[in-house]
Amino acid sequence: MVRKRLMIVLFCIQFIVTGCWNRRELNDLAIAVGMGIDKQGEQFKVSVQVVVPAEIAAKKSRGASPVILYSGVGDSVFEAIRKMTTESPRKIYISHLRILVLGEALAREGIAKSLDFLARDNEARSDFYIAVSKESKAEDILKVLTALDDIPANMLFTALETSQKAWAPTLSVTLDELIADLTSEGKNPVLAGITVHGNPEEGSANNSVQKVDTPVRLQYTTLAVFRKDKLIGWLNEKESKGYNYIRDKVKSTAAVIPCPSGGKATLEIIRTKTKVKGRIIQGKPRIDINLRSEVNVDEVGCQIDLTKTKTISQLESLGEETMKKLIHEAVHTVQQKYKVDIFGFGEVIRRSNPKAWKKMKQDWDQYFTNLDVNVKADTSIRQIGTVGNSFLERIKE
Amino acid sequence: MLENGKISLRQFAILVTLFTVGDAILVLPSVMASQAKEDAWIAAIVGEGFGLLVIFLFTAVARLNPGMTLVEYNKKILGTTLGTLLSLLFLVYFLTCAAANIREIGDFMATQSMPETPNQAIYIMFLFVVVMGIRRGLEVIARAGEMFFPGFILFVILFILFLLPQIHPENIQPVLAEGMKPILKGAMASSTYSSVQLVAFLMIIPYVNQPKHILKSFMSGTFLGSIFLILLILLTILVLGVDGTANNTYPSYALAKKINIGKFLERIEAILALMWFVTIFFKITIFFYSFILGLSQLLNLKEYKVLALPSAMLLMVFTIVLAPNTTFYHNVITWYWPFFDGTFNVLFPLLLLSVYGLRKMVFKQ
Amino acid sequence: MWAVAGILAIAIVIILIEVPRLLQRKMHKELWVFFTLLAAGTGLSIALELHWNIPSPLYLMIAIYKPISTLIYGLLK
Repeated sequence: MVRKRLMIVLFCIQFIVTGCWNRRELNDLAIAVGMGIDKQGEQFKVSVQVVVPAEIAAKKSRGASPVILYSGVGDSVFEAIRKMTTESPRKIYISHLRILVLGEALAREGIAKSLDFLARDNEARSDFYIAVSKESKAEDILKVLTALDDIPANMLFTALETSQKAWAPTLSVTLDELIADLTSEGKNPVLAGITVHGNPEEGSANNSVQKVDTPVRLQYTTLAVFRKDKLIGWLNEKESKGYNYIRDKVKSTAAVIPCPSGGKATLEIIRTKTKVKGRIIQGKPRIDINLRSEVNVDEVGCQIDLTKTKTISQLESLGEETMKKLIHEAVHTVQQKYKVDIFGFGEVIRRSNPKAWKKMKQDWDQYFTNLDVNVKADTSIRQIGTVGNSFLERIKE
Repeated sequence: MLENGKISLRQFAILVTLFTVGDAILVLPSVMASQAKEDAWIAAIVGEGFGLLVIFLFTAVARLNPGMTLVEYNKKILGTTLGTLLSLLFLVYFLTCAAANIREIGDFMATQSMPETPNQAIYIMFLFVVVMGIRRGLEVIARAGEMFFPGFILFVILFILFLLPQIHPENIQPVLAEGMKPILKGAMASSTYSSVQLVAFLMIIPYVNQPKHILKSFMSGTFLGSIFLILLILLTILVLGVDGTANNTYPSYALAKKINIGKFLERIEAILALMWFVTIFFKITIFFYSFILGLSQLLNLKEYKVLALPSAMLLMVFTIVLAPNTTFYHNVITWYWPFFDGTFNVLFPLLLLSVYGLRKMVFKQ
Repeated sequence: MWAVAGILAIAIVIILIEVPRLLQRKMHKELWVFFTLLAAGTGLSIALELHWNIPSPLYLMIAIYKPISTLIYGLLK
């Protein structure tokens, strides 16, 4: 008797659970991997790079492009995305987004309004990176096909990660980090920039990646400076590096230093840690930056004797000088040219002395411009590579 | 006796733990962060500490009336009329809390996973399992708790471990910047979300097979649940920061989304949602059970299980009617619910204790 | 229309599940309570379905606790 009832119950349950109300079959989804937002007049133009599964999964390419670009124009980001369904056979699914590109024109007007949708929507996650397209429209960035990675948005994602780890003047920013920067009173946001080399229209053609020297390439450039949510300018390479040093985002990079007797040597940063402390001295805020790095000598282009410890100490001091200069320059340029605190010094002051911060936070950008920033660098050279002195010395004239 | 089941001390403690975590795991970090900002974790410690004190209160009341549930000794202590009135109030409390918890899990599903599914469908599915549990009795519910508990503990440990690489220690600074007031506000929220709802267990204590050690069991259950909540709040602030936590409706879900181990273990937040189902399920079941058992005892019925199904219909309506939208619900939860909890978990037990004491004194004379 | 029928159907199923046993054992009191609860649940469900405006009981809670809430939160501001 019990068994019979159990069977009936199980039988009935089948009808309840097999069809979920909210089910979306895989082939009803247009998986968006890249999104770009531009301004078109007063409206938003949203472009979305969608994966063409047949192309990616197929062993032999059919000759079509692995991704396709859809765009929609609307009064809001959400509206624009829904409008895309007039072109796309499937509803756009943004959970797998890898990169969000904001057009420079839009960035200059303000990025905050375009981000609320991504923060609020339940399908959106916060694990994609955000960048600004420099001197181009976001949709042009998404049009370009890339070699080595079928899905350009993927390439953009990994390139940003890799270049931040290995080169330093780029910055990977996720949505929650960006929102935290936007809402923080002691820091203004900073985003990486992307540019297109070559003609983006050509870049969308499949044969553009069939050449050895692809004519159209995407490249990450230096960092964009924002005041609140409006783009106000760009840092150059050295300044971007300085920024990343201050924010302790550098994992490894090449640091070129001058040799004691002319010429250049290059240090490879293995480990580096930056500590930023803030204090109030006699009512005035002061920032102390302490940079500690471990480096290897990786390239020598001058006449020095690496077997002597004196040389090593000299190189270490030169390394320290170079890094200090780098950081000072970065802070200086921002203080003079842009006058916004992008380094988070305000946050540091807030954490160490909340009472003083309360008084200063209204005019923090003023304080920032005249901020006294002290930099201490401590560089230790660990290894010098697989050879001793450079063979350059032994090239007999 | 209406309830013939007996549960062990261990089962009792496990139920208390799962109940304490209950729905707090869903929304508490957000409430705490908006009230106490960076010091939310300190507020949590204060709140949970207060909760432990309340346990003493509960156990004291229970000890005075061994073998009787709350509804039974209301009558004994306050007399028939007042006692019945108080019991009715308690029943309303239990039903309301059960409805609120169902509402919360429904809202969560609607916000995060299945926005197009009508909420009623989710409530029906949940109620289906809850009713099943109640019709089988207390022992089955306790055993279910035992079954889920190891998984829950394992999950907690892994959750915390996986998130450790992502913490930013500077997020909890500045410490005690605004003084004690925000901490007290936060403590109110923390205690009433978790431990200051445990009065429902006064309906279950009589069925524990070793009544002498109830206090220890009760305390350890609450303590374990509290530790988890404190760690959770600390973790959300350390990883997401104050603004991220306060603004997010379901911060622990956002937290789980961040888990990324070697690019391999990611997007596992669904498992967190599963854990929520489990803890909220036990909270709902225990509240609902208390309601049904209480009603049956109040009316001197011979069986309580039969009332499960019709009460479920009533509960369903209650859940739907509870609030027209999430904003209304959150407002009530933030500003008024703590006092609702305080009345039933602190005020009334104190009342019972004092009347008992008074009567004893009067009769001695 | 269909929803109301559905609710009634569920009520009938509930009756079928529980009532025979109660009748057999002549548990009259339980039957009374059972039917009262069921009637309340079914009636309110149908009212909801017909979009009658059933106010939330939380309004009552707000009314009762507003004074103390303003007091305590005012102190803690």
